[in-house]
Amino acid sequence: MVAVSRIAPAARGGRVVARLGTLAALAAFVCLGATHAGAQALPSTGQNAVATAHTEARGTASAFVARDADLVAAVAAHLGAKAVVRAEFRQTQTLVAMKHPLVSTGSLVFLRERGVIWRVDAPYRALYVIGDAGVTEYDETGKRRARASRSTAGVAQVAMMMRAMLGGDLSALYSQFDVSANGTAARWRMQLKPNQPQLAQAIAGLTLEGGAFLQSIAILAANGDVTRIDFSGSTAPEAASADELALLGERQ
Amino acid sequence: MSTAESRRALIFGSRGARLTGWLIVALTVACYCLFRFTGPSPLQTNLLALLPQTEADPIAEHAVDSLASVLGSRAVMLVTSDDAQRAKQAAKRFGERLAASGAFGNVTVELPPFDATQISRFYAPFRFGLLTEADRAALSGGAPPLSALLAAHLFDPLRAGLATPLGDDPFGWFGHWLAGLPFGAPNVGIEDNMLVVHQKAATGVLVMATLRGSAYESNVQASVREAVTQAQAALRTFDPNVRVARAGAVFHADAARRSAERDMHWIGVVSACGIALLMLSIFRSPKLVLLGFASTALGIVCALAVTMRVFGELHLLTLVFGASLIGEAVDYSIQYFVLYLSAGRQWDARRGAREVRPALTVALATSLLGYAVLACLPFPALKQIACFAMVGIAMAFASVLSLLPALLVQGPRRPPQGLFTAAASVLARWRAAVGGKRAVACAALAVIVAVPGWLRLVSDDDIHLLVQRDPTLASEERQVREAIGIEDAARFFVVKGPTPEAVLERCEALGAELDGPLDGTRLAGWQSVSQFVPSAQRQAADRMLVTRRVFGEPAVLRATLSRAGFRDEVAGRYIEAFSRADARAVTIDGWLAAPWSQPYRHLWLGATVAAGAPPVYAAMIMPLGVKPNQLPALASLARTVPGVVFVDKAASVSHLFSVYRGNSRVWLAGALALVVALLACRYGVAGGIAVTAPVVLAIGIALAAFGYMGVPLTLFNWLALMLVLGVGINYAVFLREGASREDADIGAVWTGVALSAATTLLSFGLLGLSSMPVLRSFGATLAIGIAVSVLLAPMAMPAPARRRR
Repeated sequence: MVAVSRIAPAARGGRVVARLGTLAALAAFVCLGATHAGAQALPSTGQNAVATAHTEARGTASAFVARDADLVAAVAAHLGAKAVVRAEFRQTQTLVAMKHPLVSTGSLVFLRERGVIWRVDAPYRALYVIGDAGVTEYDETGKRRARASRSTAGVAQVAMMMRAMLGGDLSALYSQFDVSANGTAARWRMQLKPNQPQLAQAIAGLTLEGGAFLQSIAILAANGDVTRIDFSGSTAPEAASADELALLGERQ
Repeated sequence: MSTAESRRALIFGSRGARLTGWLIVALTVACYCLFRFTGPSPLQTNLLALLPQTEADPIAEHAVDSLASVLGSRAVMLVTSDDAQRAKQAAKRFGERLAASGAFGNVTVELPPFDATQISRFYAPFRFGLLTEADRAALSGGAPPLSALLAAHLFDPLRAGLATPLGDDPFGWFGHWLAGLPFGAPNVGIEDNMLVVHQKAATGVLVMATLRGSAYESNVQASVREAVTQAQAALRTFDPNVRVARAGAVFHADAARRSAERDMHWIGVVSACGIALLMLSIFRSPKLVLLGFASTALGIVCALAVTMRVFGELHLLTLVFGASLIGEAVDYSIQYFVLYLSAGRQWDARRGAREVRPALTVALATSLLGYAVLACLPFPALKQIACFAMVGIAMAFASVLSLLPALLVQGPRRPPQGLFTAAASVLARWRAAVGGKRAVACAALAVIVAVPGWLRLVSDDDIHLLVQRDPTLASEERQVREAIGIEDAARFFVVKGPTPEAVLERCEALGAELDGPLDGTRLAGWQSVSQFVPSAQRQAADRMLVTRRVFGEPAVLRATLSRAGFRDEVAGRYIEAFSRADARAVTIDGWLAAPWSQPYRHLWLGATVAAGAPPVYAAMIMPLGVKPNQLPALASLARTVPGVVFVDKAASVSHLFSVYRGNSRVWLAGALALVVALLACRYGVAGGIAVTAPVVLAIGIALAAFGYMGVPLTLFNWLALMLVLGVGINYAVFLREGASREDADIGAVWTGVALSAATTLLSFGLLGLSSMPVLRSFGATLAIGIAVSVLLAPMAMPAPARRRR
């Protein structure tokens, strides 16, 4: 028997909102896969059809959108090409509750098959491991900090969505955002606007910019908070280190 | 003397009086049946209604029922296409069709406008008493300084956009707590106001519907089936690539009912036609066939009426079993007709009835005994079957002794003497082969052949004996379940306590255990009302902890917040909010009153008030992602927390089956002893044993056959063996009684026995082809047992020299 009760509409809203944070953050990671300058834009017709059909249904001018969709598909198609990406980040949060922007710096490793290791170096040290099994936090001494087990369900879903996109299936992206893109595969800029009211309650939009690698991401929250992450020193090594693999291999 | 006279008058009273009496009986029961079937359907289609209460604890049993009714009243359909837009359009059309059909109370495709913040707004006043396990641990003991806790939240890469504004929740504790609420269905998202699931390339949209009545009412089933079929057909013309998967008790119940009705019809028709042909080929008289059917029909219709009167409803199993009872009920008239044909011109209807009475009485008594054992079991459907069968054969018996003599006054014109002579010679040869001095050797041989089969016997107590689901529906339901990412809800804990608070505290204690590893692995999670409403004790303790660690010195907190970069007015508002927030806790009643709690309210079972006892409160905890190897650990966990019961319906049913299967051997032995004693009264000890021997061997050979075939034995096989005892013994009795009757034509007796056996075998054999596993077990066992009983029946005949007593 399917427990219908557990998927009833009212409570779904709560889950969706709780998931938004992870969605926004991970949407950024989606774009961290390297895109090489001059790479050919060869999206599969299937992706095209999805994007076009969807946007047409929304009554947008199809010729213009189709070009956007091609670019998005081209960028996304290359995201899956690199198994590992390393980068330094600088995150600037301009929050309405704060007197001045919060700046943090650190580094991250993105493993296409496993997830993300997000290391904050300043102003305090911490490590966040975001994988299919959920999120694990480590404090500066390397001690594991417990997180509420349930908050990982949303992360797992977003991780799944991320994998679908990197596998060339953009329907999940288009199901949540209206995407506009300009530039070339060598230097591009994408704007994501939520097309679902529940998501729009929390996020006003996302802006991603990149060239050979993703260079920045800006998240504009509905309440006016802005989070901007700039990436530098991006490289695409052949493989992750054993330590990193061990961190992401560890479950629960 | 006078009572004997009056009884004689009743049974053998004037012909006109008897005919009138039977006509009145027939009309009454027929009218009653007609009345019942034209009103609300008396058919019970819930297969689980066959079962007795499986839980020792009445509150656990109530929980099982209430969960079943919550889940049973809904249906979920997943409309899937590889094209997301197409899937959504199709789901809308599908939902519109269903809603327009009027078959459902309510159909939901697009969610009503929903303010996602209402949940956080509900809890916000109580937020200072709501902490997750992890945050509680971080705050108590050797906790890091507040500034570190603040930084951990501010620089958390996954923080952005949480439902709670940063100013209201600087440390993120409330946000963490909200994120920990057990909203299930991890794969489902909201898109265009629809519940959508993405699986590889496919997009599925959920269509939810509530029924207008119980899933087990046949008119509800019929209208749902019609509506869904039509909506599916409409979808196919809209887009043939759109698929629909259905899940819900109503679909299973409908499929079960229709397959049972199909079984009933074809078993009824085929066995009636087969029996008519058999009788016609032996008796060569349509009149006798008609009379035989009249007697049988009287039995069946009376059985229907009495069963509906006594039980108020008719279980599907009873109906299908009833169709196969024709073969047994017709036996009594066959015995009478055989006597009639062999009497020829000297036929005296009343003397015939007198002569056949002893044999029929013994046969009826043994059959009633077999069914009476079924009636004593606590299985409601078996009680019904037993009641049905007992009334049916008793009425058939009565009509043979009283109605048929009134209708069969003239002797036969042409007795089938040739047939009887041939039958007599077959019997003589067969008896020489298996009976007399060879009987013991034959029995020994049968036992030797059977022993290896017995050694191979295995048993099966699985619940699927009872519930065999339509494979298409089961696979559709699996699709829906996999898409949504939730599992079967057949196992849960029931937590009881004298007050709601005690129940919540016990839920929390059990929850802490469920968080740990169970048999090596952790559960995917669990759902409990205590996650939505922590116990007052826990809320007070958390509030105290927050007060002590955080708000104890407002100046320090203010400075910490300010150093971290919070605006002074934001910090001030936060501190003021704490001092203004009252110390009340979230309560069960408040939570139950919130509209969004509706899908989770079944987790709270409420109060049970027994007369003269204080009320007992109870809640349900659903473990998620349970692996089969963890079940023993869950069951033993229930014993460590007071007031907790682990309910596993499938395991309870299997346990019940295995207990009764074990007991059924004892009952079979007891019934056997009773039958031997009964027959010993009439035939002497040696005679009693001789008459019982064929059926005992038949039971042994049937068991061996199951062993050789590798078919596991179930409780229902053992119960069927009880009927083999009751029915199979008839043939030895008929033979022995016939042989000891004065001037008996032994060929005619044997013809009657063989014909009786053939009709019974035909209808029970057909039962063995039924789609319902329970009835299949019954049918197969009865067919084997009866075939062997009749073959070995001549063993029990007294030697020709001693035939006259």
